[in-house]
Amino acid sequence: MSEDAIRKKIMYIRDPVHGNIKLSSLQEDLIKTVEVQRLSLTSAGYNLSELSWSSLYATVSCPWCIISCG
Amino acid sequence: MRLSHALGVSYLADKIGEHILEQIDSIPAYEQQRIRGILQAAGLLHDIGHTPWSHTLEPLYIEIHGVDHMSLVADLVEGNQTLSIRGSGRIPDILRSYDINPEDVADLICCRYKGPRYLQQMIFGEVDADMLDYLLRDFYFTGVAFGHIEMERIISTMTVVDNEIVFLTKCHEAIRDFLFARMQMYSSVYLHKKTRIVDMMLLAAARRSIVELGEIQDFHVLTDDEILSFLACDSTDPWVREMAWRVKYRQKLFSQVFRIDAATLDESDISFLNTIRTSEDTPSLIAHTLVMKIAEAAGVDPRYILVDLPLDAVRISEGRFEKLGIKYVNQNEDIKDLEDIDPAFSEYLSRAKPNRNYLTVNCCPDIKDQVEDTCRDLFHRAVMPLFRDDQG
Repeated sequence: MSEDAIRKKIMYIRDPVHGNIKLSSLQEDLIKTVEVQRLSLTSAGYNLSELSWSSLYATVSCPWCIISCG
Repeated sequence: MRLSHALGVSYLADKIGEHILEQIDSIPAYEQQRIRGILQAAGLLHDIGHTPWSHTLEPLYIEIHGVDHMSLVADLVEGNQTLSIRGSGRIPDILRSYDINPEDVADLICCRYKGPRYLQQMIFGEVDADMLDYLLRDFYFTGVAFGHIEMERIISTMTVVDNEIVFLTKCHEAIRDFLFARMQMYSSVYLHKKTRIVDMMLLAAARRSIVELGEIQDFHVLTDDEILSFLACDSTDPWVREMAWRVKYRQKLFSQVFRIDAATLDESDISFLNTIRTSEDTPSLIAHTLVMKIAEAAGVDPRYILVDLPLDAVRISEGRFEKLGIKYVNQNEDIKDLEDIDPAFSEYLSRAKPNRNYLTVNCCPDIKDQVEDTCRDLFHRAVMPLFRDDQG
C-alpha cells in the first residue's frame, strides 16, 4: 500500500463529550507533534479524573484535580 | 485531559466555521477549506504553551519570563522558539504544507487577528469554541448536576452581520443558560475553596523550589507528574517536600478559617477595593503582607498560612468573564444587545460574582485555632485599617 493510500485512512477519535470526531489530515498531522502530545501530560490535574466531582466532593471536598478550564 | 480539550476546541471551531462560512457566498470553496484549516489548527494548538499544572503554575512562568503562556504559544506556532524536547519545532512546516500561514494561526490564538472579526470571535469571543468545550467537558467529568448547554442550537443560530458573529434572538434562552452555567462552574468548581487552597499550596512550593532556589531549569517543558515528583522527593528544602507530599497524597490540606464575603462589602469597602486595584501593590503582595501580619500576631510560621483573593484569579485565568458584548439580530434584521433582549438577566450578570469570597484566610490544620482566633481579633476590629495601613 502506498503512503498516499495509507494517508486516506481516516482517523477517528472517540470523545466522551462530542462523540466520534473525524480528524482532517491537518489535525492528524498536528496531533502527532510533540507539542500537542505534551498536552496529554499537562493538565489542570486529571490523575483522579475517574472520580466524579460529586463523589470526590463528598469524600475530601476537593474538585481540584478534575478541571480543564481553558 | 488537556489534549482531549484541544481536540474538542478544534472540532467545535471547525463546526462553527463550517456553519458561518457556508452563509458567505463570496468566499470560494477552496478558500473556505483553507480557513477551516486555520480554525482547526488554532483550536488544536491554542493551549500548547501551558506550563505544567496550567494556570496554577503560570504565575511562575510570568515571573521568570515576563510574559504569559500565550506568548509561548505564538512563538511555538510561528517557529520563533522550540521546546527543549526532541522532535519539537515541526508545527510551522506542517501548517505551511497546508497553505496556512503560521502567523494567522498565532494571531487568532493570541486575539490579535487583523482579518474578519467573526473568525477571531470563533476562537476568542463572547461565546467561542474554547469556552463551549471546556464547560461541556468539565460538566461531564465533574458530574455536576447543573450546566446543560444547548451547544448545537447556539452554533446553529450564529450568523454574521457586518463581519461580526451575532445570534438569532430565538436563541436567547440557550445563551442565557450558557452564561448562567459558566457562572455556576466558577462559583462551584473552578473557584471552590479547596481548589483554590491546593492551587496555592502547589504554587507556594513550586515558587520556593523554582524561583527562589533555582532547582529546576525550563520548568515549563516538564509534565505535571515530573514537577510534582521533583518537589515531593528531590527538592533540597524539607518544607517544599512537605507541601508537595500534602498535595500529592491529599494529606493535611490547608483549611479555610476566615472569609470576607464579596456580597456584604459596603460602598466604602468598594471604594477602598478600587484603591487597592489601582495601586502599585499587586494582589499577591497584598496577600503576602496580610500573611505576615497574621502569622506575627498568631505566633506561627507564615509558610503555613495562605491568603487568597479569588476574584483576581478569574481575571488571570479567564479574561472573557467580564465580556458581555453578545449581540442578537431579530427578524427585522435589527441588532440588539443582551440588555435590550433581557434587561433583568443582564442586570444580574453585571452584579453577580463568580465567587462569593472577596478574601479568604487558610492555614495548616495544626494551627487552625490560633489563626482563626487571630483573624477574628484582627479583622473584626480592623480589617479595613489593616489594608489602609498597608497602602500608607
